[in-house]
Amino acid sequence: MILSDAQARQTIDTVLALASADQVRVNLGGGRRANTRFALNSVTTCGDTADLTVAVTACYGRRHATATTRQTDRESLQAVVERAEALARVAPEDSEHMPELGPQDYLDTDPWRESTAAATPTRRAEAALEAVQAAEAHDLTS
Amino acid sequence: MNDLAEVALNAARSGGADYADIRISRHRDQRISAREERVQSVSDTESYGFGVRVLADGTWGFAASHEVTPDTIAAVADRALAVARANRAAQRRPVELVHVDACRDTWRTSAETDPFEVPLGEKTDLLLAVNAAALAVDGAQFCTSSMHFQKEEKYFASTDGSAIDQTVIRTAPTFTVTATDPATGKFENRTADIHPRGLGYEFVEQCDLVALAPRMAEQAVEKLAAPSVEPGPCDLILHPTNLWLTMHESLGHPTELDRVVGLEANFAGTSFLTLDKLGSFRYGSPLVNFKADRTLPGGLATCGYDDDGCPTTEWHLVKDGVLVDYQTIREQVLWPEYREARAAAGLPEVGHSYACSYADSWGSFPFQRQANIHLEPGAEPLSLDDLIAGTDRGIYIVGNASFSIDQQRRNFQFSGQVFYKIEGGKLAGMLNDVAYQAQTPAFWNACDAICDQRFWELGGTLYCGKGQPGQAAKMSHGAAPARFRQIHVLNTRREV
Repeated sequence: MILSDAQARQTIDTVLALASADQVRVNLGGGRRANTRFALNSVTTCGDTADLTVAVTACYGRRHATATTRQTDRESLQAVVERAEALARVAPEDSEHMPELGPQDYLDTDPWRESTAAATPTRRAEAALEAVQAAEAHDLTS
Repeated sequence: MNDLAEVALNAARSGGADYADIRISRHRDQRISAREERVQSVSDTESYGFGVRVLADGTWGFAASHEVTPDTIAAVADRALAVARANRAAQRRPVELVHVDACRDTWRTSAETDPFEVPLGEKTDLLLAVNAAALAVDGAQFCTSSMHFQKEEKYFASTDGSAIDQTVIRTAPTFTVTATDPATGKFENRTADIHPRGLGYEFVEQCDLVALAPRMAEQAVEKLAAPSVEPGPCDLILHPTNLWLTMHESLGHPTELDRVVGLEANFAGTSFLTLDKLGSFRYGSPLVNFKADRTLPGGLATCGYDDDGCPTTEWHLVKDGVLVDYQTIREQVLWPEYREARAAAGLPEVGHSYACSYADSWGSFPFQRQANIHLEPGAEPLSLDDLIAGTDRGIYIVGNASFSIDQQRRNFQFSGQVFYKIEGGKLAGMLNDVAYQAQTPAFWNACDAICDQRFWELGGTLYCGKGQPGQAAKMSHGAAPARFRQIHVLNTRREV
C-alpha cells in the first residue's frame, strides 16, 4: 500500500498518541510489489501484493520490545501498541540499549519512479515475451 | 471467513476465471535472543492478509493485500484476473489442474502448549540460564541463545468447493557456545543439535537446554585442542543431526519436479535426477529408502492440506535404493513428461497431487516446496554403539555446519559440528576441520548400515529458500545414524 505523507503522518500520530511508554518508535513500511516470473520460455508464477507494516518499539528505561501489525484501523493500532508495551515491561534490561535520538532534520528524498509504477501486468508480460521470443529465435530457452 | 472468501470466488467466477482460490492467513512470529547475561532483542510480529489466485485460460494470476475487507477482496480478485490475462501471451504450457475432491475441514497442529501463551519472562529467564550454564565451563567465553516461534492460521477456499481452516505452530530454540584460546587467537563454536519442530512450547521443555549447555560448552573447548583431520578416503558414521542436511540438499531438492524439468534453476540449480531415471536409477544401496511425508506429527511441513487444497500424504521417493517418484503439486501431476516417464518405468498413474504446494505468506504465490523427507530406519536391530563397534577406522560426525552443492545437486561437500575418530570400533578422541565430499549417487550407494527405529530422529529447517521472489519454507528430515564406506574427507583448514 502506498501512503501519502498525510496518511503516513496520521497513522504515526495515532500510534504515538495511543502509547504510554517512556519512549516509542514507529516504523511504517510498505508498498506495492509486483512480479512476473518465467522459465523454459513460459510464464510461471506471478504476483501483485499491497502491503503495509506498522512496527512499534516501546521502551521503559532500558527495557524494550517491538510488535508489528499490518492493519491501520484504530483498534489494530491500539492492540499493537499494547502488545509492544506489554512485552517491553517484562523484557529484561538491555545494558547496550541506546535512547532515541530526539527530533532530527532529514533530507528530502524522492524515491518514486514513474517507470516502475507503470510496470503493469501487461508491460511485465511484454518484457517477458521479448526475452522468450529472442531466445526462441535462436532455439534457446529463457 | 466464508463470506469473505465467497467475495473473492464470486468475483473470479463472474470475471471468467476457470478456477480460483483464496488464502486468508494470520502469521504470528516471536523471536527472543540473548547473549551472555543480557537479552538482546524481543520481537513479536503479526501479519494478516489474503491472496487470491485465479486460473484463466490456462494461466495463473495472483494478487494480494493486507486490507481484509470485502471491497478490497473484490478489487484484488479483479487484479488477479488482470494479471492472468496479461500473462496469457507469455504462457506456452497451459496450466491444467488434476482433480481434487471438494473438502470442508479443520486441521489443528499437534502442539500441546501454544508458545505465544507462555509468558515472555519465562522464556528470557530460560535463555539467560542457558547462557550462564554454558559460560560456567572453563574456556567458554560467549554464548548466544534464542527462541523462535511461528503460528500460521490459514483459511483456504476454492471454486472447487473446498473450505479448509488450519493452524500450524512451529518452535525453534537454539544456542551457540564459543570457546577461545587467547594464546593462539583461535576460536571454536558449538551450536546445539536442536532442530525446529512443528510442536509447541513443550518442545522447548523437552530439549532441557540448561542441562545441554555445559556439554556443548565442553565440546567447544575440546575442539580448540582437537587435532586437524588427515584428509583422504574414510568410513563415516553420520548422526541424524548431520545427515538431515545432506538428505535435504542431495535428495530433497533434486526430487522437486519443477527442478527436474528445468522450471526452477536458482538456489542451487536443477536436478540430475531426470525423468529418464525414474524407476531404474540406482540412487543408493538397497538399504536406502526415502519417504516423503507431510503427515508426520511434529514435522515442520506437516499439515492437513497443502496450499492447493490437496490432502497431505506420504509416499516413497527412493525404494530399495531405486528412484521411484518425485514431489509434486496439483498442476504438475498431468504434465505429459511426468506421465510418460511413469508409463515408461512401468509405474501406474498417480492421479493425485502429493500436496507439496506452500506459500510462506498470504502475499506469496504458492508453489512447489519440499515435504518432510525421511531416510527410513534399518530393518534389523542396530544401535549406534553397535555401529561404531563394527567400524574399524572412521569418523563419527555430529551436527550440521557449512556445505556446498553443484547446480545439479550431483557433487557436494558437507561439514559438521563435532567429529570423532573411530579406531578399532571405539571413539578415539575428537578431530577438527572435517568435511566430506562426494557425488550424490556414489555417496548413497556407499551406505552399508543404518541404525534401527530407536535411533531415528528429526532434523530440519525453517529457512529453506526457493523461488523468485524468494520464499522460506519449513520441513523436517528424519534419519537414524548411518554408515558410509570410503568417503573422501577434506581438511577444511589446510591451505592449498
